[in-house]
Amino acid sequence: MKKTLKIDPVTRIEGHAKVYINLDESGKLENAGLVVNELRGFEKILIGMEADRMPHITARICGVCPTAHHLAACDALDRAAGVTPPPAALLLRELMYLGHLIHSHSLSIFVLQGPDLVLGLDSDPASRNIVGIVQANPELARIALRLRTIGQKINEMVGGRGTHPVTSVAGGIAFTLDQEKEKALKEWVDEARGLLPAVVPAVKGLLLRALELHPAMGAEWVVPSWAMGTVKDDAVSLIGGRLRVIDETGATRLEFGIEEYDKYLLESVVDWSYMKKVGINLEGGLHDYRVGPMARMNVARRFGTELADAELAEFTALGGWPCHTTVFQTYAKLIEIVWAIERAGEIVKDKAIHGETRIPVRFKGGRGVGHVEAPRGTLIHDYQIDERGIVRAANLIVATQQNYAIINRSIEQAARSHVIDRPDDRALMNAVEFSIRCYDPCLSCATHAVGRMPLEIAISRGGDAVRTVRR
Amino acid sequence: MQLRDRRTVVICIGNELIADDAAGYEVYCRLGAVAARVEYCGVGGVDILPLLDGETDLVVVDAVQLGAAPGTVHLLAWSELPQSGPEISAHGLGLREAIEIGRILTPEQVPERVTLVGIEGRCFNRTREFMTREVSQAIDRAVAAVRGLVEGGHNE
Repeated sequence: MKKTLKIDPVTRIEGHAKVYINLDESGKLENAGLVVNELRGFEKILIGMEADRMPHITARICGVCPTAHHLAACDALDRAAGVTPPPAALLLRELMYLGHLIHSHSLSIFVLQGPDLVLGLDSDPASRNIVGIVQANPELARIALRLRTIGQKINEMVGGRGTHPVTSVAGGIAFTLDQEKEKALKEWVDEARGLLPAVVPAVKGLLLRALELHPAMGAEWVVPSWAMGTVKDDAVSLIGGRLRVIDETGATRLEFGIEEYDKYLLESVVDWSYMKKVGINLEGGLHDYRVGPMARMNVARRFGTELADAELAEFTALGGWPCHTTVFQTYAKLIEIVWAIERAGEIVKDKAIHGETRIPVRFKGGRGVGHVEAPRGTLIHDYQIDERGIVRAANLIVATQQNYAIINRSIEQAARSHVIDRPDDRALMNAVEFSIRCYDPCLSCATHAVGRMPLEIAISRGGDAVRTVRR
Repeated sequence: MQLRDRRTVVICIGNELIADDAAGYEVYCRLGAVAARVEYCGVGGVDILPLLDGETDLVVVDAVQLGAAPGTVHLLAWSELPQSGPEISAHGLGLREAIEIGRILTPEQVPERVTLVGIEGRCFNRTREFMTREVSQAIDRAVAAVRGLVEGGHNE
């Protein structure tokens, strides 16, 4: 029997993804999924390093979400040392992170998904790139790029560096706010807020148009699943809080502190991909689940700020609750941008931000598990640290691993509606890619791709390869 | 400011931790005082746009892979800049595309003359200490090329 899946050495370089689509003899879809051909091995690289370095080293895992790793590592170190950073430090960490979220979501919506939304899934690939978006809608592009820049500036000022921040440390943050910086931060937040009335309706309009043009997106690209997210004061929280799990009907099935994560989240190795998948292990069953913006909204149902909650009500009216329609991820990201700007506004006005920002830390030996809600979903860092402050074991669970099963189901749906019996490679690529991109997966670099991602799709029928599409 | 005045901004691009990709960062460190504003930018792409301040001339320094021998210092004018393939990324967004976006969105900020000083690299998948010998030896030549461009721009 011929092998269904062939990993081409050409694609075995960092950041490339491969999608397989298997059809049975009659041409019906058997299964489809995403294969990650890269192995990075950070969990092993970290062993033997000083724990203090984790926030800086792990930030380098990724150029897209470095701030998430930076802060998840700090949270783990705080817990390993048994300290709680001062209130000002927690507020400043959160502010840094909100800047990062604004930056990351703006990039994801406008730059990565933008070509599909602004230009349409069926547009000419030659113009489906960022220059094409800018030409098609310069006003929106200007605002989007400005929002991205403001997010990055906030992240950079508080984090000390734009891309790989350095200021957050075990026990707090090595940053204090002076008058000049406070003034700049307030101005940026005000400016970002001023951009919202133009940007929110524009993105919503694009999304609704995409749904009109591709009814399958709304009707068929629906993946009912469990969801997990961090909740604090009964609202979405990026930093700190407890994890809540709901099932596909919205019923709360579980709530736990992060130190218990390995009781419920089960990582498993699959033999066809370097990415480990994660399921929720509860009452004898293993459940696929979703993390990320839409999961957070489904789980918490509240942001606690005026504009974001008003937008959330509109989202629920359009997409229902709990929402399982893949494309609504984009809307969820938009609402999180609104919330992040409002919340950043609250923090820069909070007097507590001027207090002490750091307390001394000593590792006495033990384990520390920390977490943040990364832009793409729950991120967990787990370290075993010895009495000399050296990392002896490390485990990291990132959002994309947790979304893996759901991403694969979305690919199957896109394959059903856009691939089967349709010989057009372009429509196939666009549809499969769009369905993946709704989750904004971070395979380190692969999905940075603007316009197109480096992708190979292998289609086989009855075990025989019938077509390989590559770019 | 007189209309005929020429002002130059030099933007050096590259990851200071990656072998040959650090070429732009090395040039940035060695450039010293020149008659231009000098900026460093880790990944380039659209992030260079906020660094422009209405100068007339832009010199971009970056490691390139154009198929020449490692250490070759390319001096490319706007019309000779390579166009990115379809697999452009937020990281690899070409200089040409970034400038085109800038010309649509903020024409008043974007320099009329753009020149790339490209240092041909070979090793982009190892750490800083593995910079190709030919590339390390090319840094001073690249610095001289940048200085020549800055001075030339002002003489016009």
